[in-house]
Amino acid sequence: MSERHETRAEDLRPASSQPLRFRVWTAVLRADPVVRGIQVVKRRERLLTVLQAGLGLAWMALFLLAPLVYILSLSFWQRGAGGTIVYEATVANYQEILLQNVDLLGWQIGNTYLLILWQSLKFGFLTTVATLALGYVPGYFLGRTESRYRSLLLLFVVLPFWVPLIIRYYAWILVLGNDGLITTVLGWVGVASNGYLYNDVAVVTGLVQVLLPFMILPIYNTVNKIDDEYIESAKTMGASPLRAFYEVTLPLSLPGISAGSILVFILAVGSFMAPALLGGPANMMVANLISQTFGQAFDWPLASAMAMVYLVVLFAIITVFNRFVGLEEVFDQ
Amino acid sequence: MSYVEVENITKRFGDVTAVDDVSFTAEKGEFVSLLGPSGCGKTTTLRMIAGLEMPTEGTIRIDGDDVTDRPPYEREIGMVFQHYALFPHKTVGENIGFPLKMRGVPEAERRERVADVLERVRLPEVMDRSPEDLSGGQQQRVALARALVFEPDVLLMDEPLSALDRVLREQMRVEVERIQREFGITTIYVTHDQAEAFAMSDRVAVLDDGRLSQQGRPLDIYESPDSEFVANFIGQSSQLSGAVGTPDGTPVLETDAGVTFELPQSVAATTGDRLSVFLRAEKLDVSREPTGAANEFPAEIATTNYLGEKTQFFCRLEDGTELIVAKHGFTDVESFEPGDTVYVSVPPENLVVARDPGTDQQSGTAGESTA
Amino acid sequence: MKKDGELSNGSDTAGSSESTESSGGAPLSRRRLLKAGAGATVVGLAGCLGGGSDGGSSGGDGSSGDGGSSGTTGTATSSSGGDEMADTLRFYSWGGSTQEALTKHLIEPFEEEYGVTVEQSSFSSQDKMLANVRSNPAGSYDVIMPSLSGSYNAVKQDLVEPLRLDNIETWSNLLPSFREYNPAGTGDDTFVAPLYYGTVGMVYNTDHVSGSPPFSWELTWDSEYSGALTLEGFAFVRMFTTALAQGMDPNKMEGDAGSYEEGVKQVYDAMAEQHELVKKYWTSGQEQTTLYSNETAVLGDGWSGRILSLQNDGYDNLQYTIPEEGAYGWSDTFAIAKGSEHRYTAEKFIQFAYRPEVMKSLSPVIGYPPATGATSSDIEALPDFDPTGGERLKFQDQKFKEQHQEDWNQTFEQIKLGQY
Ligand SMILES: Nc1ncnc2c1ncn2[C@@H]1O[C@H](COP(=O)(O)OP(=O)(O)O)[C@@H](O)[C@H]1O
Ligand SMILES: [Mg+2]
Repeated sequence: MSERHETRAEDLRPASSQPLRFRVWTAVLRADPVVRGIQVVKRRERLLTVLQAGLGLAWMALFLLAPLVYILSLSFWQRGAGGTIVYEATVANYQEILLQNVDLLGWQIGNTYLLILWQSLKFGFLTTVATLALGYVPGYFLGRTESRYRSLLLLFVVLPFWVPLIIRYYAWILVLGNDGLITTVLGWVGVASNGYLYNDVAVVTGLVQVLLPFMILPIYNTVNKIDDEYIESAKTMGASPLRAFYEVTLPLSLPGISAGSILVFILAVGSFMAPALLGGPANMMVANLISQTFGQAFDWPLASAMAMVYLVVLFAIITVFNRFVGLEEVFDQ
Repeated sequence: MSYVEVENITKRFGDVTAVDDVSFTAEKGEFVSLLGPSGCGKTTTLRMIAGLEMPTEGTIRIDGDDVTDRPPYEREIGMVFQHYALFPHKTVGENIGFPLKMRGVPEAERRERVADVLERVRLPEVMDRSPEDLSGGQQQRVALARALVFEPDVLLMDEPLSALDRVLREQMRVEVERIQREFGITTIYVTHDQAEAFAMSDRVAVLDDGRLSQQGRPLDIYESPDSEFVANFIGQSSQLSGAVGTPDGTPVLETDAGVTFELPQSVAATTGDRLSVFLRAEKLDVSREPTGAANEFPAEIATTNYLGEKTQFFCRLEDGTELIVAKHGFTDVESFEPGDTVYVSVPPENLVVARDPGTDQQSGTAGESTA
Repeated sequence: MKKDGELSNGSDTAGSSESTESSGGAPLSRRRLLKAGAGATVVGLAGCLGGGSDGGSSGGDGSSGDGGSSGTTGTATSSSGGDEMADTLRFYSWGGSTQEALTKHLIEPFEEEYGVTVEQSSFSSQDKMLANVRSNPAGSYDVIMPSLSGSYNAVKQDLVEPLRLDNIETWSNLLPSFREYNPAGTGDDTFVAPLYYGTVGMVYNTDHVSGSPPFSWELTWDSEYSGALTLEGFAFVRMFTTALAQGMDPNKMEGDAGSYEEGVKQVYDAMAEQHELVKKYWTSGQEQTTLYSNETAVLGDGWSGRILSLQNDGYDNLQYTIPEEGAYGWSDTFAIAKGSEHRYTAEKFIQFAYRPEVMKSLSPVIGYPPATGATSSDIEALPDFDPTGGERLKFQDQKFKEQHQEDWNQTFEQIKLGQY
């Protein structure tokens, strides 16, 4: 018997001190074919683990990577007559959306794609700031309250998710529209207007309402995890409640703020329906442009290039943000 | 008038009475411990002194000022929390400087004072580190430094050593005591560990289920607990109950277990009184043969436990009642086998006597030790 | 009713579009579902390209595949073979009220007469329909429903079979103007069978706009209606209508000097001027309804069907008219999907649709006049009805559009962004 076999059976006590049937079993277990068999099974197990991990990766590859690669490759082809695709590699699409009508020396940018991308980022930024301003207090309150109604209140925060997005935007049309709630109410006090729809403010308002939960929930989550002892110890050291908030609670809730901000920013920049339904003649965002290029103009290659550039820009922004805020912290929590 | 006066404070959380009519005091510079099992209301009491909890009833005075209704940030109190509560987003220096910053101390002076206090807790050169990078003992010192740096009127500590392992805990016990003496600060210290309380405190207040059982010097509390609870909670003792009888003219306690005890002189007992005696394990003697000592009775060995510094004998009386006897520096253990009969004795003055509950007299007045 | 390139997400049927229905039994087989799933993946991909929708929930039909695939893929090659009626016909049409009308007045009578089971699925926009036909295996659909402008792309992308007119005995019923219009510019072959037509005409609110027809498109440049004007948001329709207003041939856009460059500049200038007055560019029927009914807009363009139904709902102050310069004409058509296994049946379906009695019952319910000569008092009362038999209709030259569309789109965006 080789040493390897010995170690395989190391959990068995010395054979001599065992009853006969144990000794028989020991011998059987130490037999070469059996040991081999065990090894194979063990290897199988490892194989299984590899398979499981592989499955996860394959899933990712199929649903995340494959579409991305497909879009990336599309972006290097060209549109042919009638929306066909000409399979001739070119960077013309990228040139068109990045360089056309761009005169960096003269500070002139007349490039529709870049302008619309810029407009989208602007909307994203405004929406993020507004949701933060409106979402911090509820998030904080939910995180700190000991009310037994907290679960119920949390439910209210996510309740809007059950209402289809489009209906929520149409609801804003009813509120902001010409014969909507606000015009009617203002009409009673003698302020006449033609509604408050179809402008920047309407778009941001809609986005803020829709995306608010994405700000409230991460803030709630981090504030909820802040140990009372931190705040109490600040107070015993002479901090008034306001001071304790500023010095302790606020900085400790920063991870929630940045998580919420990133979520809201990404979702807002990529929004489609808000500008389409609530925006005015000039309020186009990058998703609308891509969709229009994809659908109406049937220029899949150009639309793909737009999507890729959009992705890269967004990724870059998040990376920079990460540099300053430290996203790892957010996900560490 | 004492420096800190806690007068009849009660705290109720809904139906739960966490603290029930508790009063105690601390003199200036004194180290007072609140000792009691978990859930007895120690933390709640401490939090009321800090102002983090408002008493339902009662008054708290510090240096003559009624602070009962003052918020914590107007109380000049340094507090060390159980888990230290060091701010993870601030450096050690910023943590310690925090109370100074709240008091408007300029940056430069702050740094100086922080460095100074770090020196005094023997933890230099950690100023710019994050508290999370420090060991438990170091965090403890930082928490202490932070509570002391602004020279508060009172230092409050809530089981500050409980998160440390045993060796470190015993080191820190000495260290905390040293620092407290050095700063000369009035300290109220919460713990459930009797040894800790006894080692560090000038005086100990024992809490039982929200009520104050006894307060006094560690020695007094140990030697003459004035209630069954205190006697049971402090140290290892066995309890025997019985009725007072006077077969020879002098009152003796005839216990239900069949053993008769001569009572200490100081105990005023009359025939028929129901009393309990607490037999402290290390105050009992044990021998193979009767020695003729007072209060000697036979018992059977159930088990022996050799612990090194001492040996425990678990003995059984005739009716099955168990007793623990502890002998220090005892080496002849192996000669005692389970089943052996031994003779246990205790001098009357080493008996702790308490009146049984349910009798008319006030509890805690029966025991008077000669010590 | 839906038109060319209607905005897909956010249209009024977004919630229920692209459902797979089966009129006349034939439950979904497992196989069909699987195929539908495969289709859905590609559609999902398209969703990715769309840049994602607000708040994560998809705006509608991206994920619900449009079933319809061959049960016997093995025989797909001999698809167009036999000139016999098949048992089933896979029909892919606009959803919503159009689908309802088609089902009741065309599909059910057809099924009854020929004993064919029509399996229906629906789409909510032309680009979704084309994308699905393009990405599903050949033979997944038999009859599809492109608009005239969509049909150009469909032909170019090789998604449709030519019609064998000999098999469509009622073909001569088609109005001459449609027979002559050859959107794909493909010479001899005919690919689409127009079903009904309409225009993007002028809509005005009589409480705010005085005068009576005929109006000129010039009115939509009147600053009096600043902030109360709404116009269709697609560049090619804007270009067409503006060119008409400028007195140009919208399929040449030659200005006074006779060159396209100058003509198109003139059109752009006019659009930029008009843009200042626009409250909102609409992209769906629902949006028109909202904008006109709550008087956010009192003047603009629109679809007669929408205005008709608003009038039926009591909005008597809303009127639809074709201005004196004419209006952008559109038509929804039937075409046979490439690789159809039931091509003959599909042709017989078209033949059936062109029967006068079928058109007479269908057209008034759809709300638009038929592309055939069928007529009745109900049909003549339709706002888009052209008594000249379609001669007044103006259609876009798809080749011309294809040639210039990219510039039009870009410039229109620049105008909207104030960068023109
Ligand atoms: N905020 C609170 N609400 C309700 N009950 C409380 C609260 N704080 C403490 N208690 C109760 O009061 C009693 C004493 O608690 P505590 O002071 O924390 O005890 P200790 O510190 O001695 O372990 C316990 O029964 C506890 O459950
Ligand atoms: Mg406690």
